[in-house]
Amino acid sequence: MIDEKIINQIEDYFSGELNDEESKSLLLKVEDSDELRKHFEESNKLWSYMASAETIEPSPDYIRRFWKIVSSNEEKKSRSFFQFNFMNKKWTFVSSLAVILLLSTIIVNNFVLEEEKSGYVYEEDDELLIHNLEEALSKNTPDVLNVYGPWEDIEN
Amino acid sequence: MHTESDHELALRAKSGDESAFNELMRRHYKGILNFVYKFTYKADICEDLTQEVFLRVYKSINTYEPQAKFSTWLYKIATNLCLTNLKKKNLNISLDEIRENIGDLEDIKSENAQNLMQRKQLNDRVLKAISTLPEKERLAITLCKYQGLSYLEVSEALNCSVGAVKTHIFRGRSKLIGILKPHIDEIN
Repeated sequence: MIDEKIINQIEDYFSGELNDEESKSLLLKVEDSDELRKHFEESNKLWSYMASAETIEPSPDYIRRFWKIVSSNEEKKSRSFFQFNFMNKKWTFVSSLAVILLLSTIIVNNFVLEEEKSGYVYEEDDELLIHNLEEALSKNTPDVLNVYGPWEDIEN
Repeated sequence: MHTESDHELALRAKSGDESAFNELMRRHYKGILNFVYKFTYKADICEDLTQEVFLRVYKSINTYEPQAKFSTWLYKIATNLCLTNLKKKNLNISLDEIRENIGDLEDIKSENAQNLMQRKQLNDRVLKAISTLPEKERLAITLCKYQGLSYLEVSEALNCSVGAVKTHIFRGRSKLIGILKPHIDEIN
């Protein structure tokens, strides 16, 4: 039965996680055991085989391409900022107009048309009557009541 | 001559120095390209994805914390992008596609036909074998074995513990041996 700890150490060894001393100690243990040696060789072959897979090269103009993308992104960003600003101005104008219209409507409804809403319209006769009544009241004489009609007939 | 570390370059890039960012790209572009290629196996999209990775790095360089290792941070971004892309496009890799992609990458004139054929077969086998692994095992093996990241760095890139990384690699190893055993045995 192989010790799991040593198996893990073998993987640590191939991942470069062991220091020199740990590596030497491990290799001694591996040499002493057929099973460990088999596991060690298997890992060694696997990772060597995997490492021989080829690497690819970047395109020669990758840095230029990168800055081109950056500048095109920044251009898009500033364009959308200007568009946003323009839209903002447009919407500010439209909303101000809407507020002005709304306020005018409220003012007209509440103050100018109030008289019409109450259903009472002043007439000239009414105003004259009120005027006469006020004038009569201010005299403080029996003539005051003359305004309501001729009193001679009642006395007679 | 003093060679600036990634960390120093990242800090310069953070303050808006484009030449520092160019140097970081020169150092890491090929690594990210091959990581993306080995993970996706789509030669036609791996260059675009790599550009996207660096675009994200450029946009978020202000959030780079000096305590973090730049390459770990970079591979974390690349890993997230690969996973998002995988989910979005549901990259199913067929062997024919792999062959086709590899065919594009080979420099036919530089090698004789037999060598070319052997390399092509080896690539087919390796790429196919890795593509059968679950996401996390595939990422852990690619980052650790191909990109040379330590367990700790892989754990940071994958947002998991070091123990989980070891498990992913160990499980992946067993599966890969199962698939590649006949070819591995040919190696003396």
